[in-house]
Amino acid sequence: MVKVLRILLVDDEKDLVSTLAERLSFRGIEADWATNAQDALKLVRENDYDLAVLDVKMPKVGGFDLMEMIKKIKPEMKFSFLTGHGSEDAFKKGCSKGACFYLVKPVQLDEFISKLKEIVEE
Amino acid sequence: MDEINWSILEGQGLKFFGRVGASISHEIKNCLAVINEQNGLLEDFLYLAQQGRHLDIERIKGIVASIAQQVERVNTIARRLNKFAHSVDETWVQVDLREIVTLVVDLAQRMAAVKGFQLIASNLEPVNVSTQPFILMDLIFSCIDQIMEGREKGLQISLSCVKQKKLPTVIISEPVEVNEFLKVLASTIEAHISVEQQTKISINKIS
Repeated sequence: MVKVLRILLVDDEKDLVSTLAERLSFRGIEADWATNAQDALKLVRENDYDLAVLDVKMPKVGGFDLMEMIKKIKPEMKFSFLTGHGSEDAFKKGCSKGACFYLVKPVQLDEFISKLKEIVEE
Repeated sequence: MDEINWSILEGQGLKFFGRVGASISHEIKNCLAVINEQNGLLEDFLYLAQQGRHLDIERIKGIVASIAQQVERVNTIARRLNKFAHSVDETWVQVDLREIVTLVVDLAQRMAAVKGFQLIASNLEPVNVSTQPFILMDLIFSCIDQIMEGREKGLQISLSCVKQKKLPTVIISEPVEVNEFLKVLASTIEAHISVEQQTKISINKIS
């Protein structure tokens, strides 16, 4: 049986994460979403995800800090980052803290999905 | 003004311009990301309709309205950026202080939110001044920046403009340390910074 990928999307742009989650569901990926750290942590406690995709810059708690909080609850979870502008520095920072890739907005869905699968299968 | 002060002004001015530009381009990218996903969702619905699935017209209307909203949001952001970019066109101009304060708050809003602060404009009285808009905005922004560096997250910083003791004055709700750089900026536009419980920037030139 093929395992269904479960991911958590966190970005303060509600229309972005909710739409992305819906589009992923059409493609067989279960995606929950949150627009802030508090809601994201609640979802992490209540569910098991293969991967979390976090926006780097969010009000109050940014993606890198949120990753550290999630790791304390679910150490086995994998991470990726969404950013407005890709830069080598951001990538290195994400990688050094355990994430393997970042995606630059706006994302291309096919590329996004293949990256999700790549990181989960690693 | 001596050479050192010019170099401080130029260097910091470029930094200010760069930070605002970077923040705005992030905001625009966010809008484009939403538009991109909603356009993709429309494509998905069309594809599913071609496969025989019912097309929910109300849902489509909602997505179209949301795209229009994002386009308007980008337009507002671009208008602000344009206004900011043109603030360097002329050195001394007559402006309504309300416009300057509102523009700084609009431009710095997201930067503040990302750092965990809330920035608001309140009690804006119509006050005309003769000033160098870019330098004044840099001065206000630098004060806000200093407050955000040294204070606990969650703080609400409010900005107002009033006429106090006959002088046009920008009031920032928190105190700052008046360092050399703030003094240079203030003296360039013939303003004076006083600090007690709040920070007050009084502008001597009244238009």
